[in-house]
Amino acid sequence: MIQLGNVDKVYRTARMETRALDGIDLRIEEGEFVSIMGPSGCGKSTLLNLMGLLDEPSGGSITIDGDAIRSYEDKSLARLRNEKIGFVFQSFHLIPDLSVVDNVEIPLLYRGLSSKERRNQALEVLESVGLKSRVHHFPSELSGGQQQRVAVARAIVGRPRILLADEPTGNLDSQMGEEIMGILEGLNRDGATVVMVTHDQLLGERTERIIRLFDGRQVN
Amino acid sequence: MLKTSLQMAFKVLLRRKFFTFASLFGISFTLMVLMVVVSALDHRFSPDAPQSNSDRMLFIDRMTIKGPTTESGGSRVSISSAGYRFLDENVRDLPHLERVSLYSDDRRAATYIDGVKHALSIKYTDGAYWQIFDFDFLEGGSFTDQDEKDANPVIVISQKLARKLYGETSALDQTLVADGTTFRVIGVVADTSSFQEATHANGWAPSSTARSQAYRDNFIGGYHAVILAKSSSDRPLIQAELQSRIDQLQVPDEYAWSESVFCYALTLFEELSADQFSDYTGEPRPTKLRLILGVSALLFMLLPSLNIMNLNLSRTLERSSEIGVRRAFGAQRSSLLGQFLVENIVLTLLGGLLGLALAAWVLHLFNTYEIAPGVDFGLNFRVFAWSLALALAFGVLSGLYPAWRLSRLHPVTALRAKLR
Amino acid sequence: MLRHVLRLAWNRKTSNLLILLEIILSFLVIFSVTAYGVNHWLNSREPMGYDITNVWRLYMENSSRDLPTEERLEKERQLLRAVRSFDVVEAASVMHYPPHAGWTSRDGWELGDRELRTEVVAASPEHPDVFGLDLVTGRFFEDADRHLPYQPVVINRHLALEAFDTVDCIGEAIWQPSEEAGDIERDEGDDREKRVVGVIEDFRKRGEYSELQSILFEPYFVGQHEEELFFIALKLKPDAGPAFEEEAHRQLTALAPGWAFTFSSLEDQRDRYRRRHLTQLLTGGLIAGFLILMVALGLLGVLWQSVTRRTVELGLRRAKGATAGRIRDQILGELLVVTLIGMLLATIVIAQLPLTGLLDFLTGPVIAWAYALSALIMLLFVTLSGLYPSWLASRVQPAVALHHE
Repeated sequence: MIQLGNVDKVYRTARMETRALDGIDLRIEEGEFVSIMGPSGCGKSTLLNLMGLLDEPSGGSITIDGDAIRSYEDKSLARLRNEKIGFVFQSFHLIPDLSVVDNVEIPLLYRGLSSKERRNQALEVLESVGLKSRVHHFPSELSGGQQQRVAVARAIVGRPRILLADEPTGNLDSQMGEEIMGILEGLNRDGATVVMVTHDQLLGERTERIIRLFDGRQVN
Repeated sequence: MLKTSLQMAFKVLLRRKFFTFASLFGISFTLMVLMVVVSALDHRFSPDAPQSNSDRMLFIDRMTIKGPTTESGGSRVSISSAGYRFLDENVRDLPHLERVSLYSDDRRAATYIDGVKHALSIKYTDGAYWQIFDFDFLEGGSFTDQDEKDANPVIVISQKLARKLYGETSALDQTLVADGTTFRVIGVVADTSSFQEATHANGWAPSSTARSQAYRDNFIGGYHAVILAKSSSDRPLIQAELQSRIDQLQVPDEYAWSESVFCYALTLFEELSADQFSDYTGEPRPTKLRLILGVSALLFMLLPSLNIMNLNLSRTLERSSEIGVRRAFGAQRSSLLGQFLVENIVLTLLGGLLGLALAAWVLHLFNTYEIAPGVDFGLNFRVFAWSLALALAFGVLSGLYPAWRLSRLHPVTALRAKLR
Repeated sequence: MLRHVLRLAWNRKTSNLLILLEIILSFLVIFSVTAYGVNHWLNSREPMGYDITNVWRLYMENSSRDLPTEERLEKERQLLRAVRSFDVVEAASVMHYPPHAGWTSRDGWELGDRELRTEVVAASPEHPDVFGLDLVTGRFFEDADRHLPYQPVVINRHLALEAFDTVDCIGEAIWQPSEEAGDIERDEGDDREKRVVGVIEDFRKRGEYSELQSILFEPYFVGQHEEELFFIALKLKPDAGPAFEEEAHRQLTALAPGWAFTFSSLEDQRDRYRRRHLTQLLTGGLIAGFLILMVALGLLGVLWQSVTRRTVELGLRRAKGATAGRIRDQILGELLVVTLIGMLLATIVIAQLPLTGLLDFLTGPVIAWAYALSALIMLLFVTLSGLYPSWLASRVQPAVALHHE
């Protein structure tokens, strides 16, 4: 499903060069639930960003769902992200100016669906994460767990085959974290490929495979 | 997509009250000023009565006679309105025209009633004048070419003058003594605007009734002509023909020193451009006028635009998470650019609407306090259309750069920004 | 502290650039309006050189240009006699052209290596009886002057200084006929030498808000002058109301059919002139005021945002021991630094203005006053718009920094 061949990522500033990732070879199969672990600054998030096509590797190749990414041209990347990938972030990243249902509709917006279809699909997904009663609230009116559930709803509303989660439970207490983890596991059971960056050893062990990074290299 | 952007824009605006207020304040004020200017310009070129046919009209208002240039670089130049004789001999039989009317400079005069002076500004003219311009007659009617031929001492006056002179009683058939001539009032017309010189006066009398008939021999000075072409596309032909006649013109003996004569038949817009920017020749400069109007509008919008830009850009960080998310979920840069631009344009259009209301109020004040005599400023469809165009231009001017900056933000940076 | 603030402003240069531009433009706007106003104010304090209490002007237009010259001159003599005979008229003089008439006659020529440009007014010897006279030295015209071999002229102090560097120039020739045409443009008129017989303080015929400029009086002798008679200036007795007009008008019309006569009070004209100028100033001031208010709101918004964005940094500063007052000073200081840099750049633009020669009213005192005033206004409104955000910043609690991490 996701395949990385000898991927490097180097950040350059005027004064220095930082090698964030160094020769990563990785293959994640369809339907897998994989976690990425490692100490702060080891390149976990960078790796996730590359898988999510948010960033361009300095070297190496990336294949997503059989499509080898050849050009990092804005338009085609945007389409791939929209159709195949869903993101969940540690700090939720809900748009404060938009209501819950408007937030969830965002991926569908860039797919060119009619507003009615968008609304229906968004409501359906919100119901599945148990937030039907909160659709017209604004993010600031929700608890952290509820906000993250909205973010998950947003990630899955476009039925992507890959779900990328960057410390999805990092800002939540353990009970809420457990709730979110449950939802991710359910999605994985329904066939989604899930890749999760986490600090939490216990959560990591609940996934099928752990990829450990240290200083930009894969160590297992 | 556009509909969604619009909805989104409204939602954002409603949630950011101070930002929206600060922006709207600047936008509505800026557009209000521009709309007042547009309204004044529109009023001048207005195709409403009495110049409903303005798209077929040409005006001859100025004539220049220039002598040869001396060694020291000076030369003798006479600039004035045109002369009756010149117009009579060279303009009446131009091709493609439907009618020509000759009318005098505004002649100041006074009439006294019970020791109170009433200032008159009289145009001496002919019957064709009333056929070219469609004055709004409140009482009576106009005079004809026959009245002009017979030197019938009749006069048409404006409503305001009629009220001042005769109060509520009918002005018809009243006598009016002006400069020693006793006129009979035969018509009262609605007041005309001082922005439309060809029709602005408070009295109109046949040319032949003027105390001195010396004007008939004048080559230069004292008279104007208005030409009604058969169609507006005939106007360039008429202008060209007039030019070729002037090129072959025989000047009268008293102007033997003349080297060249300049006289142009101009549309209203060309006339304004000649008024403002022409040298001694009176040659129109419509392109320059257009350019200056455009550039001034842009300059006037520059400071407000910078202000809006700064306000928009100051929200980059606040909105960076939104940008990151949208990019992550498949927004292209161009669609983000579109979104931010639409947001700004919605804001400007709202400001434009407010500005329009403010402009209507300011114009109402102008009318109430008679800032310009006889001018009845108003907002009409044309002014509205121009205002819309200005608001759009303003929206794009002030929104493009911030939108471009925001849409260029790298998704990873955008998503990280809030964490820091 | 200052260096620290400067460095901060520099590090934020991209985001400060547009703000800088905005400040430059605002300053230029404020400066132009204040310069315009200051110019009016300074000019209105200069002596006018005449008094128009109860002065009227009579405009006469002869539409029959076909009158032979001798007949016309005779008519003009009759008209002036008639005007003088009216009961209410204290004095009458001819003046081409009177104040506020919108007519001017200008001339220019070279005197030695100096290029002189001046407004030219033709006035009859009775002129001081109507307008009064603020004489510096010499005398005004007399009837006997028509026999002089040269043309006597009276000039104002401004022109005297331009031509001779001194007001003691009685008897000097200000223009001499010469073969090598030094004239810029003289098509008709007297070709005798012009000699100064008097210097007056001034005669600001273009109104109290006009700039000081040169003016030269030539004598006008009624019934002798080549140019047609257009304007008579009348000094009325204090008890004369506007009612004299009708009778005067009737008599003149009877005397000269085919002429048009218009009376107008110069005081009315001046009031209209004042109103027009003050309206202009007010409009300009209002528009500029609103622009500034708008910019102030904009700056307030920008600063507010920037304080919100920098909560962590500010909290950290508090945690490290900066007092609330110091934080407030820092935010205000950053804003003022940008403002001062903007004003400095705007000053460079303003310094170029006199060089362009486009705005000739921008003289030293106008620039100095306008600059000081506009700098004051600028700093005031910028500080006002910075007060709330900086207060907000000073209220940031040190704990915020930690909480945010």
